[in-house]
Amino acid sequence: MSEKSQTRSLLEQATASDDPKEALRLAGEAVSQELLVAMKAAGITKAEKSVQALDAAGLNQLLALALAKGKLSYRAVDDVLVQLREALSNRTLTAEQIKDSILSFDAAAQRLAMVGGHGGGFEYPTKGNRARDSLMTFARSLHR
Amino acid sequence: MVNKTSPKTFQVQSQVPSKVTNDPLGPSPSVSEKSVGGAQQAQADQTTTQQVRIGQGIAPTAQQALDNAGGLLKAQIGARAAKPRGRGRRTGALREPNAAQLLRSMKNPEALKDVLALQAPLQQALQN
Repeated sequence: MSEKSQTRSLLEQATASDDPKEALRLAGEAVSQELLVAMKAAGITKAEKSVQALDAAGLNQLLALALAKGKLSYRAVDDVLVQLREALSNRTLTAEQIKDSILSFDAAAQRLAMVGGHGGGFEYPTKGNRARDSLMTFARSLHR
Repeated sequence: MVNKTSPKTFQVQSQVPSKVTNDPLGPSPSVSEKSVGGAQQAQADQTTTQQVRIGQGIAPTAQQALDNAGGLLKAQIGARAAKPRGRGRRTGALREPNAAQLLRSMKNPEALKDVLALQAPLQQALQN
């Protein structure tokens, strides 16, 4: 099965799923897969490492949500931060993993917004973006 | 420190009358209670008093305290500058992705449009 058809299949499964969590998980997986292929085609170095980092803390799901909404919502970030803090206290994720995942998310979102251009369906400004600020502040707090 | 035995030290001490005359505690009982006899005797008493009181560490005047604080600060700054850094890991600020760098790092940015093309199916999948 080609990567394209795999992505399509994952999205079909997500659409068919009655469980919103499962749908989000499948959508996140589809985004990761498509992003990896696109990053490699775009000639971005360390594409695999970047996508792996994104997936490690489940931020591929946040990217899927952001793409679906056309922008990163503050509420989505807030929910993710609660999960990440929990993962940190339960030691299921390290601070380094979370930080790398956030940086990978930020880079991918910035690239997608740049390529799409203004009015391209996905907005991710680096200034005056409360949702991004919140995410990056958390990443900075984990930086040692 | 005060050298009680050396006569030379007495001379030096007698040059700082402000320490005694500006003493916020006022004149010491040994000076005020003494009857004024010969000048030599008074001088001897004064120097003795100064010597004892300086030796005990009298309260400094405001100016002296200021001077001393300045001296302490200088010493502290000097000590801090001279202190060697630890061998711990060095970290700077978090290196955040920079738009210009991200753009430069892509040879074929158009390829990322395939990800943006997922928007419609994602909306459909996540409408719940």
